[in-house]
Amino acid sequence: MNIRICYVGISRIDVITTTFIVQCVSWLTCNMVENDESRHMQLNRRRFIELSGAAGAISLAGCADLVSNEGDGTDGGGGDGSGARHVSMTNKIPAELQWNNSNPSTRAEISRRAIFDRFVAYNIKTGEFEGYAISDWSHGGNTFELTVREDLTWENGDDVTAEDVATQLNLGLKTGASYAGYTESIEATDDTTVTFTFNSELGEQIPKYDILAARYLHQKASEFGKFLDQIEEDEEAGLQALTEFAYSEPIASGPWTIESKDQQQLLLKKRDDHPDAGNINFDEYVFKYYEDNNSVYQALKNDEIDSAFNLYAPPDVVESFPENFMQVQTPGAWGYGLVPNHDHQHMGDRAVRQAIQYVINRKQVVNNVSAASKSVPPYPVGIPSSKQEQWIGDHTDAFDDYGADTAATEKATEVLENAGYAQQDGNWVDSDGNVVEVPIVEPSGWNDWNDATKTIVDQLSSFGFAASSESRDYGTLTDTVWPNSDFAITTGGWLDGVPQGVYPYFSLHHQLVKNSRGFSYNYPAADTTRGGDRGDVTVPAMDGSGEQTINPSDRLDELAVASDEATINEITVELAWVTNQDLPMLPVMEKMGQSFIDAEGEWSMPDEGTDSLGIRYPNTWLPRTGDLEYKG
Amino acid sequence: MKPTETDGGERPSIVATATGEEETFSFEYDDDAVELTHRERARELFDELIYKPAIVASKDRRTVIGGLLFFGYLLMGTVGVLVYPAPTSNQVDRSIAPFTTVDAPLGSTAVGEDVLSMIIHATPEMLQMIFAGGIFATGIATLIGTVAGYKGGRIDRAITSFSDAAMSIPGLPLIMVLAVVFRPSNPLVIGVLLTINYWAGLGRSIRSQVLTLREEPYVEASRTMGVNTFRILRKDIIPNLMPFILVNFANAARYVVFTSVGLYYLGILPKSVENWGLQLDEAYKNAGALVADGNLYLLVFPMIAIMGIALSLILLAQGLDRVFNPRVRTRLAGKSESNADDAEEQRSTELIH
Repeated sequence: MNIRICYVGISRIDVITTTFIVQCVSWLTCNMVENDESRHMQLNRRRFIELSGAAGAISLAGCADLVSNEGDGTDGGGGDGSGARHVSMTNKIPAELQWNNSNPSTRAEISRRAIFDRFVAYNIKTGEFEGYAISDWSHGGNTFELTVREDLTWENGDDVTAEDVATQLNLGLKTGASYAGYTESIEATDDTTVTFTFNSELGEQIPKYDILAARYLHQKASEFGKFLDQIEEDEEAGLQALTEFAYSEPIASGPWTIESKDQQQLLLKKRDDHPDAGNINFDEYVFKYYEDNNSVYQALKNDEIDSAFNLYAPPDVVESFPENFMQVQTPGAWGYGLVPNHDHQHMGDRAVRQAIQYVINRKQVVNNVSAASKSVPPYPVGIPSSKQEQWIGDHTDAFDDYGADTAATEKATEVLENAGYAQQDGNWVDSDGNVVEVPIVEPSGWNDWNDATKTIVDQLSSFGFAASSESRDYGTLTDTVWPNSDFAITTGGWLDGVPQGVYPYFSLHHQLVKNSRGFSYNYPAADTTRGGDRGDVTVPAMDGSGEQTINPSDRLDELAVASDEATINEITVELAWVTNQDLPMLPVMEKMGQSFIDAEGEWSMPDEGTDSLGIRYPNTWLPRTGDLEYKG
Repeated sequence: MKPTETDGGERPSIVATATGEEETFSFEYDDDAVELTHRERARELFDELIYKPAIVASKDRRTVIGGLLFFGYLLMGTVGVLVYPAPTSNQVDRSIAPFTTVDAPLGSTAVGEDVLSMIIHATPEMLQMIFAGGIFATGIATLIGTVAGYKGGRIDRAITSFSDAAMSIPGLPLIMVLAVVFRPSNPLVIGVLLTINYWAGLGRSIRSQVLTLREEPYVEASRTMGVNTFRILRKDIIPNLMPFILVNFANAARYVVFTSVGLYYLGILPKSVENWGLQLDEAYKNAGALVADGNLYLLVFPMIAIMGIALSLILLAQGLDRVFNPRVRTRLAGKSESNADDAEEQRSTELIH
């Protein structure tokens, strides 16, 4: 629209140009937002892991999946809800969607949460796991048992069995899911029980976060069992077949099934044989296609849709939405940080990293981006803000907060000067006279991140670093820039994302050993796939006397199997200390996920502050429990 | 002496009068004559290059407005950037509405950047792009067009086929690919890149102009006298093409403005320099200016900047056409009563777009 305005009064060629540009916008958006992790089909296992790891990033960074709003006219319906439809949004072209989660290409995002049932509902507000498709579980040291919900059926009438769940989890084992590192075998021990056997004893929390949370029941044995056999016979060919399989007519395990899909919208119909169907008082669920955040803003503003599951919207924009929309914010356990390349001449120097962290005024960054949906991590450590008090609250005297709401330039100067850096003509130079450059590589089109980078570049420049920013396409970053260490410093998520990111083992593992986004950041303690060799790190001792040398990788392995609280605490604090002192990644802000739902118009929602709003995403979860209802 | 100049042939007789001696009329110069006419030649040059164009230009509102506008941008890009502070985040309060404070007369963005400062500091790079793109496009087009048109034959066929091929490449996608591959950050390089195949169409029209010019008697005379091709092109052909070239220079410049803004808006060109397109992009994406009505000013001001420079270039192109049109010029400069509408009808110069 706005492009067109600036082309007013120009000849035909310019009009053609404009049209072309408009088309390019959609093309770019599709590529940027949707296919982010989709273009790398030459697989090996490692690549696959990187791909699946990168998956969460998209929606979290403000490139939300979007929905659409066709049937406004038909939106109404009888008071009993028959004929009623809930209109939501997706940012992927519905006609192209497929639901094989092992195939990253055009993989459905939000609709899969409607079509398939989740294993359990993890509530980020209460920290509790609530059984769902997996109704119960038990941990037995080196085993873990899952019990499948009894009355659950697939869309075609078959019962959901332990065999189905085991098939899906075994495929994960073959494709390098996060639990693959410590799992020996997964078997269906009877019709409703799936048993994990671990390589060694494991603490209670880890399998819960790793196996139960954020998983959906989607790979039915009758459809996906063949891939397991194929992988047994020929791993490479089998993996290739699995990851290339486009599951475009999925067999639903959830309360909705696909009725139709076209370029504009995906229409789902309620399944009456789902055990929770009785809680749902509307018949149709529509996901309309919107290509970018701005078109969703517009749709919300015009009340064209009933919900948007995850959408970054700055305060000014939120204000323009009609009042009947409720904004549900949930901690993302994820957020903007800087990932230095530890092999880089300057970024590899702890003093420079600390100086950068000191100079960054995190509060200012957060206020510049959106104080309403971002928060300042109190301490730069590998633990999410909301859990810092719980884990390191007793040691905050020792931990450095690097000036959360100020640019601690004096401290930065001190650190740099102690390390042999000096200021020359307003620029910081090292002992050889080389100017310290901080070229920050960031994904283009991630609005909130771009604002943050801009602010940081200005903060660093005014301190005397030669800071700059360079935007690259997200696909280019995940395909080449990050895996090839082709950066001095880049923006990146410093946490693991919900739900794993909430538990320190995972967030520390992400920062220190094996980040889930595929940054080859060459940190010495990191895994070889991330450019390290799982080596030692030496940091000042926490009690202030001398130094201590720690092997983060070994300590994390110990943390994984620890079961007594004292050991878990000790190791967590120790590793948090390493992240605080050595700064493998530089935390800057943490995000709140934003969902928008019509709560006062045609729909009724629980009151704000209700615990059930802590389960993501409210527009696909709450209808199942009867909390989101059509009221006409 | 260029045979095209209307007063060229009179000079020998002026010389005769000045010396007060009776002389046989001759087409040849003597050294004295050259020495004597130094001042006059300067004067004549002044007349030709400045005085007459200025008269014609000043009679035409379009040229005056366009010129003033463009001069304004030149000032902004040279003096403006020196006196007005560069945009940085948090230089003023966040999200100030326009026309409320002198600190940020046109308001500020959500990260506290002064909008006016962003507009001013995007100007120098834009001007550099304009000049680089304009010179590159018209330069190549002139070279190719004149050589092809004048030489004819096999050379003509080869060059024409080449420019046809260049013309058939879709320009914008090509630019996009090149921009992604080379990630140009220097505005001069960007300017050249944006006009990478703009010259082709222009080259063809210049060729057609040359085809008519080469049949002119004075060109034929030069050819008969054995003057070499390059000299004929330089002395006889190109000067006559200048109006056409300059008008198209202004059009090429406008093309550079729009294309650069479009590509910056799309995020295809790297954010290495300030640009109004980047401002539009940020206003649309980061501030949701189309949804949040209160932020509309973030879109409007850079748009005004873009429209202003485009308007100045369009007006200049039209005005320049008149300046270079010999009939209009002579009439106006000679203070003969002339009717602007008449003059317009006599326009001989063709616009590319």
